[in-house]
Amino acid sequence: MLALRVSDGKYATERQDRPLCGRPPTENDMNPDIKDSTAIRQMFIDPHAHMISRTTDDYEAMAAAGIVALIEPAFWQGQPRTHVATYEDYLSAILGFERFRASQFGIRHYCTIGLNSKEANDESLAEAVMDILPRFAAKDGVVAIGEIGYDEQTELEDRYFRAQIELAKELELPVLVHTPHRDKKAGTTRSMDVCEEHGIDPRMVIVDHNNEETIDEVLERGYWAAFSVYPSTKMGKERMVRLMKSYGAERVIVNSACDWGISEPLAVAKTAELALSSGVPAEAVHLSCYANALAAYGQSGQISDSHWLTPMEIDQRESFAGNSILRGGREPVVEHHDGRRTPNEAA
Amino acid sequence: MSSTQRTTESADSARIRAAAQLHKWVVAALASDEAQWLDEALTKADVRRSLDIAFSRTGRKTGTGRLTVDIAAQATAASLIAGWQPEHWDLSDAVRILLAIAALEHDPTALDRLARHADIGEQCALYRGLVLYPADVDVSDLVGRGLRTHAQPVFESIAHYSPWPARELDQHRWNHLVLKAMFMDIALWPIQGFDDRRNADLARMALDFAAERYAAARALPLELFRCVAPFASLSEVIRYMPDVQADARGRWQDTVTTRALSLSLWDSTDRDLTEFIRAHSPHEAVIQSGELHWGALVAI
Ligand SMILES: [Zn+2]
Repeated sequence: MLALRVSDGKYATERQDRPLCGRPPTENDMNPDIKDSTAIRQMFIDPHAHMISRTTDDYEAMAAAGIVALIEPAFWQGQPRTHVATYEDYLSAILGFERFRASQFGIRHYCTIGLNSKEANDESLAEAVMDILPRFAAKDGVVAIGEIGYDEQTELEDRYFRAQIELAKELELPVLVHTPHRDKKAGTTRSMDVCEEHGIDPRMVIVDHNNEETIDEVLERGYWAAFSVYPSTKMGKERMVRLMKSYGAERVIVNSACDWGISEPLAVAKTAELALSSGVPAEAVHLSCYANALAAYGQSGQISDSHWLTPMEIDQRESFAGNSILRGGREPVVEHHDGRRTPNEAA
Repeated sequence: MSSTQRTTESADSARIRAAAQLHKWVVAALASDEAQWLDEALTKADVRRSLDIAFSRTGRKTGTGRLTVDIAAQATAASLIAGWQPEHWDLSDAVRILLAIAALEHDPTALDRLARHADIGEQCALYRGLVLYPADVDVSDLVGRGLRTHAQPVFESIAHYSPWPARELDQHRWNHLVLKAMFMDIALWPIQGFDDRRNADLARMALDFAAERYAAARALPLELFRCVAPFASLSEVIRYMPDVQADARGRWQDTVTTRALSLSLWDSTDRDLTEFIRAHSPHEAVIQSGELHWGALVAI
């Protein structure tokens, strides 16, 4: 069977400058010209990125910075949804077209499915969303129930947080917990208390948006501790690097949480770069910016490094990699100075 | 009973037998727990929530990978439905299609319902299943949405390796399918029944498309020449032809490009164009013998 795998060739060339394994970076992995400045040639995962709000420039920059996979948690979109139908279309978009968009840049896209804490306060919407969630949560590439938890810590938030923990248990999925921005410390403690009441293993729970005030307890109690390097409201990269230095990397996960706000889609790569140049061991950077996210969300059975390390194994129909097109045609502006007639084959 | 009715009924009975055959292949491919899961899901196809969740969970039950259809089974498939090529389906496609067919028995709008929540893999499965849905199911809106997609895999799931588009689409939609395939850099050769459905309107659209690409200094899909061959003159075609190397007598070198040109333009009806191809193409013998065809462009 004929298959002129044009894009295969293209992808292969693009990827040659990256180490093709998940090991920590060494000096040799760095391009000598940019060793102490930008672009570290290492693979990263951004396990929290709301790409539906971002541009193709962001995807391009993320791919160039070494992001091989990202996870798009279901969240609110700044403006509250008032119909379950718009919620459905949103979930379909992060499961469908957004994954396809990412694939055009060679980035594997996964998502989490859930009813967020803000919209949990609209009871009629929340009931309708809870009704449709099971239909979405078991689809391919869904790596957790999330992001769920508390915003204002209301009764309704509590009810739907608990119901979704139960759904995660039923579907054997990890849980991504969004900790509140206000009254964070108490809200984080309460989130973990509720998880334990429902008997879910802390190893199946990623507690996100941590800071200096919450990290001790989250790690102490055995949860994955994620940090959103989102300078205006959550965490800056200098602070993140200080935390990496004092706490090490066990169960620590760095993400960008980039969304429709002023945020940084390269936060993971830039934090890694700053960490390395500040003397954080390469192994710790590898764990917190790649391997821990893979281990935590890998418990879903839906994300594996084979998806990007051996891309032939994945379903090529979901990406451009299966393209097989013959291109040719006369190029009107090209002149051959040596008078040679050149076959014009893209294949 | 009118002859149209009889044809519809026999086509539907062929589809029912084809679906039963597909079920056998699927059960043989699934582990016993998963096969049991599928049969339970199929018997509960009247319960919407249960069917919808089974449809969503399919990937977790089947994993990724093709449906195994050996040569004998491929012949069986083609004997049931002309042009049916389940060897291009994934196992997950086949399971989802069986679920969709079961759902249709209870809800004639089941395809739209499932498509509404479908991710890209699920959409592809629903479209690959077009050959197996009963004739009285109206798929026109569903197919319209699929053909408007920007997701290449979804488009290909309708257009490629399926007898459905050439058999069912009217000329307007067919021409737009072909044009959009070229626009999206999607191959034409896996589109079944392509040559028989060429038409003057498509040839005109293809030449306009060539002119646009030419003006933009962009490469053309070489298969574009297939659309125009039976309708265009040498002068209309030659300005868009790629540069190719030739020997002293003007005979083209044998390359993938010249193979594509030879195949595309061989059945031209324009006398000058036919003479031009016969004079320059080195492929007459392999075309006549059938050795060179679109499925073997780089293989021979
Ligand atoms: Zn978020």
